[in-house]
Amino acid sequence: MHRRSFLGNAAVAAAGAFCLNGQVVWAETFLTVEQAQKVLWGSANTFTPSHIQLTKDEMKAIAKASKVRVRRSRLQVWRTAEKGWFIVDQVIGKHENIDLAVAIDVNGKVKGLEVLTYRETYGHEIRNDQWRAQFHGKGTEADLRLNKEIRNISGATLSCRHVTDGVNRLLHTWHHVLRHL
Amino acid sequence: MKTLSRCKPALGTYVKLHLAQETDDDSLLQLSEAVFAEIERIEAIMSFHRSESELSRVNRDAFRQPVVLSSEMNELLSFCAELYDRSGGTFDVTVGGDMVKRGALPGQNGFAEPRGRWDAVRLEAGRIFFGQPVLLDLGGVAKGYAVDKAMAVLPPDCQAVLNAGGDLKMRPWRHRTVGVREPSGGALHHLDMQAAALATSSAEFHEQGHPVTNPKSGRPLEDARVISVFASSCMVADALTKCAFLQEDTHHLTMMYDAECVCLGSP
Repeated sequence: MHRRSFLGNAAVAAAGAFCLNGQVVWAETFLTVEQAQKVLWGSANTFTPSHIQLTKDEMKAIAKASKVRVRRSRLQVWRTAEKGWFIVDQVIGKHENIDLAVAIDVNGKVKGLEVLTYRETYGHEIRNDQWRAQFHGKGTEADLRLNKEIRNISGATLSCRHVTDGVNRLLHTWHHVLRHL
Repeated sequence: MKTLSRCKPALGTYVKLHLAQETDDDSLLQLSEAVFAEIERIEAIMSFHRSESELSRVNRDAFRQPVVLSSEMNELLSFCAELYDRSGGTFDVTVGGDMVKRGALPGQNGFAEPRGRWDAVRLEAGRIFFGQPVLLDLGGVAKGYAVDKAMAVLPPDCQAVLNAGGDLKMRPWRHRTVGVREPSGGALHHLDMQAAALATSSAEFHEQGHPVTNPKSGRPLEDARVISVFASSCMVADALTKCAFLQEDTHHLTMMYDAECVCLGSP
C-alpha cells in the first residue's frame, strides 16, 4: 500500500514537439509534483499548499540580493511537517525553459532539486518527418517504452547556469519571505 | 515493465535518466537515486569549480609535493596520459590555465601561475607530481567518465539511457537512434547508435567561445562543426570529440579505441 502511494502512476515520460513562432519547442516531462515531493522529502511527509503573493518590495529585495530577475509575484509552495518547503518554479533560460521543484529545509539549505518539465527550443523545424511523426496522438497515458518513443538528443552541452540562478533566487525568497511565515 | 524518467541539474548541465525494468516503482526509484548519487560522487572528485574537490587539491599541491590519487582520479588521468601519447599531444588536459586566463573557468586563490603542459606531469604508481605549475581541467573527459561510472551501478537486467548534456550511454543500444543537433540552427540529424556511448561537442550554447582549447596555442578553436563520437565507453567518446576537432585525421585513434566519428557541418 505504501509502495503504491509512493509512485502512484508509473512514472512515464511524456514527450512532444510543437511549433511556436517558427521555432520548434521540444518538451519532456519527468516526475509529477507528487512524485517529486516524495522523492525530495520522503513518502511519510505531509505537504500543505500555501499561496504566497510577493509584494513589490519583496520582489525588489529578492532581485537585489540574488542578482536574478524576479518574474512572478505568485509562488507555488507547499509546507512540510518539519517546516521545510517544497517549491515549484519556472526557470527561463536563453535556450531552455524548465519547471523545477526545489526542496528547502528549515535552515534555508537546498535539500534537493528535480526537473519536472524540460523544454528546449530549436532554431528551425526538425527536418526528419519521421522523427516528428512519432508525437502525433501520443498521450501521457501511452505506455512509452524506453527509447522506442523517447528520443535522445546529443549536442553541445547546455549549461545549467539558469537553474543555479533560479535556485539562488529561491534561497533569497526563503530568506526574505518564507522563513518568517 | 516499469519505467522511470528523471532529470536533475548535475555536472554543470541537465542530466536525464530513463530506466525500465521488471520490478516495482520503489526499486526503480532507488536505482535512479543510486545513479544520481554516483554522478554526484564523481563530480565531487573531478570538478574544477569546487575548491574542495580532489582535482583542485591536485592543482594546488602537486607542484609542491607528489599527491596520492583516488582510484577514480588515477584511472581517469591514466587514460588522459595514454590519449596524450596516442594523439601526439593534441589531447592535453593542462589547458585549465588557458581557460582561467580567458575567463572560461574561475580563477582560484593560492595557485601558482600555470606554465607547463602535460609533459611536465609525472603520473606514477597512483601519485601525481608537476615539474612545473599546471592547471588540469577534466571538462573534456570527466562528464563521460561520470556517465560510465553511473551506468555501472545498475543491474544487468535494467534498461537505461543516461544523457548528461549530450554525453550519453544506453543499454541495450542496438537498433536505436539518437538526434544530433546540426550546426547553427539546431535541426536534428538522425544517427543510428554504433556503440553503447555517444558524445557530441560543438560551440553551440557556449557564450565564452569554443569549448575546445588548442593546447598548442592555448586559444579556443573557431570551428563551426558538430562532432559526435560513438564508443563503448562514454569517457573515450567524450575525449575523442576533442581530438577530432584538433586533428585532421583521427582514423588511427578511432581504430585504436574501436570508435566511430561523425562530423556535421564544415569548419
